[in-house]
Amino acid sequence: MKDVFEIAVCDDSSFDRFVIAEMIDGYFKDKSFLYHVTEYCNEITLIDDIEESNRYDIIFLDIYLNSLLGIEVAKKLRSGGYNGKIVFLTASDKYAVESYDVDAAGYLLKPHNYEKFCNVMDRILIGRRKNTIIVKKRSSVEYISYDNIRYIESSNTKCLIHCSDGKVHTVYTRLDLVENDIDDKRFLRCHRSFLVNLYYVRSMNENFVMDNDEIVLVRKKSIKDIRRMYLEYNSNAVLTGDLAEIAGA
Amino acid sequence: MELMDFYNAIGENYDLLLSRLLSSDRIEKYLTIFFSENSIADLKNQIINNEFQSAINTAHTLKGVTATLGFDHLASDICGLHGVLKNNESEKAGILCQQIVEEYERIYKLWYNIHSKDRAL
Repeated sequence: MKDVFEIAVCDDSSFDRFVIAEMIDGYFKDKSFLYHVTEYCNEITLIDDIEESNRYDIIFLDIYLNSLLGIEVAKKLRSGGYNGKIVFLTASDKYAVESYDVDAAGYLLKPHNYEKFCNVMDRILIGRRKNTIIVKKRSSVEYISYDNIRYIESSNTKCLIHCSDGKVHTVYTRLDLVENDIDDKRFLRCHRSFLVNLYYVRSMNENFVMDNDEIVLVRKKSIKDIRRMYLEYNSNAVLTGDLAEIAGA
Repeated sequence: MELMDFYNAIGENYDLLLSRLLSSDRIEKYLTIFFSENSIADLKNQIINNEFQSAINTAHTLKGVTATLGFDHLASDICGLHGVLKNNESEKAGILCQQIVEEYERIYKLWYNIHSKDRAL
């Protein structure tokens, strides 16, 4: 999951694309949230773009498109591995039940209604925020997904969040508090100054070696317990397939 | 002239529209886009040129657009036209389309007058 909210609006009506883009702007206006909207006037380009880079967190999808029904487009996207949110836009409730088959996050009926639009966005964002750390910046707020965190390092009165994209974010809090907030089996407090995401660990000797060759320190007096927890995590990860990417790294 | 006066003049319910879109600025923006596109002229041309599938698609889109803008009478007429087009009743479609064009022109004139007065002020 990315830190900028990527949104696609696919509707053959330029008026409806304008309306949804304007509602998105309105919704995020008071939220200081990073987002980006891409408009599509046809489903073919949308499908091609998603096959190329599965980058959208939300797709607003008209039901009656040029050559395909929005439901059919959604099925194609899902079968191609798209796992983001899909919100249907339509004047008819005819496909509301079918929308469950593609795990739709919403079904917005026209005429457009701003409050109902915001309700759908709220539901989606609550889900997104569940597994994130909030980083407050000067003029914005970023939500860092646990998936993207390599490790968190304590540094005096702040914590440095080291991410898989190489970025380092700062939060002004204690590592103990961060550790308490993160309820995720991948994270292990391996040192007074480090909370590591085991998903990104390549190997362990006296310390952890991360997938990018960085070293994360391990508490000497707890090394046996930490190694056991690391091995347990690995054997569970092998069973669930969580290790695939790192093993190939 | 306020938006409310415009909606009163065309016989539509502004309060209901505002309760749905929650902002007069938003309504103003949507109206500006709608009148700049003139999709009603596209619909008329498609019917004149017997491009019925295109006309069905345009009518379908316009049903939603006009309903979003609170033009309930126009939306209802377009809904009727959409049904007639789907039944391939070309003669009826021509008559209904003419009514829709006249209603649109009436609305547009009021909108245009409001804005030319605003500009004059």
